[in-house]
Amino acid sequence: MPETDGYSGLLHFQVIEVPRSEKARDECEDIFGCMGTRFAVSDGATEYIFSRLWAKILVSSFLMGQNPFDENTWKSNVRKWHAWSKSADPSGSWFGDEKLKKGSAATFLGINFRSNLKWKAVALGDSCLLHSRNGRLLSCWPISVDSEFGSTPQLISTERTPSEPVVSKGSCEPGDVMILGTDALAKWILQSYQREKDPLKLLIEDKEGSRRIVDIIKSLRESGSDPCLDDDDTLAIIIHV
Amino acid sequence: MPLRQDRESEIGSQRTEKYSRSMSSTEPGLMVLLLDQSASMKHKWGSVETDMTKAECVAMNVNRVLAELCLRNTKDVSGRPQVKPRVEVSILGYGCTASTDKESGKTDWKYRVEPAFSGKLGGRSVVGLPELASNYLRLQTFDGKDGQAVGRIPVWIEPHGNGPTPMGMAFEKATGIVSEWTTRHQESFPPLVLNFTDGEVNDVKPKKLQKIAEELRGVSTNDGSVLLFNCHISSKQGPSCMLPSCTDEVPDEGPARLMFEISSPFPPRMRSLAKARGFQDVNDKTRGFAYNVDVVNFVHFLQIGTVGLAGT
Repeated sequence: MPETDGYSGLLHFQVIEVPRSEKARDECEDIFGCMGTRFAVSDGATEYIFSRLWAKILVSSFLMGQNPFDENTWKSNVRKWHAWSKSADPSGSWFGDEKLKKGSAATFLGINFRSNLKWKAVALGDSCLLHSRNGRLLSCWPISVDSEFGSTPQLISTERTPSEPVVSKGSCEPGDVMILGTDALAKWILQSYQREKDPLKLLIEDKEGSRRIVDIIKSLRESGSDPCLDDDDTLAIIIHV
Repeated sequence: MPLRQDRESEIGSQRTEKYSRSMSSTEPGLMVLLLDQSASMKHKWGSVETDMTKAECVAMNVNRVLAELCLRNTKDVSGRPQVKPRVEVSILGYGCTASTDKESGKTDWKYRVEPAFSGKLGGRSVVGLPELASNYLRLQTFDGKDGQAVGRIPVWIEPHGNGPTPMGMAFEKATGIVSEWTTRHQESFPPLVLNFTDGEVNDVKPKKLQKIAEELRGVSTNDGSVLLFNCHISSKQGPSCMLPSCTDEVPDEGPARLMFEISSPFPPRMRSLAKARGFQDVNDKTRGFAYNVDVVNFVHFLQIGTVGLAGT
């Protein structure tokens, strides 16, 4: 079953979180958070160091009502990242020094629901918001075509002033499902809908059985599954409106 | 709970495609570099706008890719930077040692194939990436475009050059290393063996070299057989080739065609890496071979064969 199941701002949500095969759970660089009507996910870039920390800082910042893309907020967040990461390697190894110089980076997606079921989302990179109604996908944003998922998504970095994010607004109806997913799971969900399969049936309804989500995800990563889930950190918040 | 029958057939569970495994902490890869350390490696690399010899240039670039490998696999674990054990490295130098008889003044050459590491790693055939990252000879600063020191990377390998070229012995030694390693890592990506030489083979005849190379390539994991790539570097002007797909593309001189024949084809992921570096003619018959190449193509070859596959 999904690992986290709860309510935030009267919205029922479930979280699926499974790290890449090689990693322990506390090494997963996909981060989620929710507070009241705000939900966010961030995917720390693997090639950098302390990406999990950077992703956590971005998510926390959004949940506190800040805009992580605002220059002053970004500067404050970068200071937090440097303060923590520089204290982490007192031995001063050459690889720690060199890696820290490159900073860190992550994708970001945040959504805020209003009381009238209207929502506003902000994003940079390939973490996606998927809107589903009655088992059908209404939209996948900001990426709408599976071929657009690549290995070099846009990122918010500690080393460069952030690029302009994309913003989307909309409304939902009671019974709708809104999913915030990082690239691997978002791509798999999109491809499942494209093949007229209901991904939520597998991810959520199987919780009635005894299969753990980690086993379901593992089986979906095996070659031969259609669609095949990339072996990457896997995260989605499934919000039931 | 076991998978339901219908889902089992839908999902499938067998990985049959070769060379598909990623190098990981649980299933690490092995990279073997064979470095020609014969006397001719002390000659200048004519095409380079520096005074460096071929041995110096090879050592410098090998040190750089080792540093890059370490950095690509550096992650924060429990709040501290650590190098992940996703790759193991073996570097063998092959050349000769000379001993001079005091009475006759005659010099005897003895073929030599031995681990190229010195210092704390001296004598070690295979070293894991975390241990490699922490044990080096010295740190060398490198400068940015403005001449300011911008960073430090370690030196592990020093340049050497002496006597003829015992490549056959080097392949045999590599076969021993990969055979032992694969018994412990059957689920890993198969070992990569990259041979860098500037010369003819002195210790065995061509047919014998073919046989030795075949034995080396015959060692395998469940993910495929050992990949043997050969790179011939040269300071001479003359015909050259980079990543050829057939014998006709290889100059008919010296050991070129023999070295092409004993080189492994590129697996799909390496073809993609080569294409990304601008080698658009790469196809499913392309072999990991280069002849008479300059420094630029030597570095491409080294990078495609090492960092591209063994990075994160």
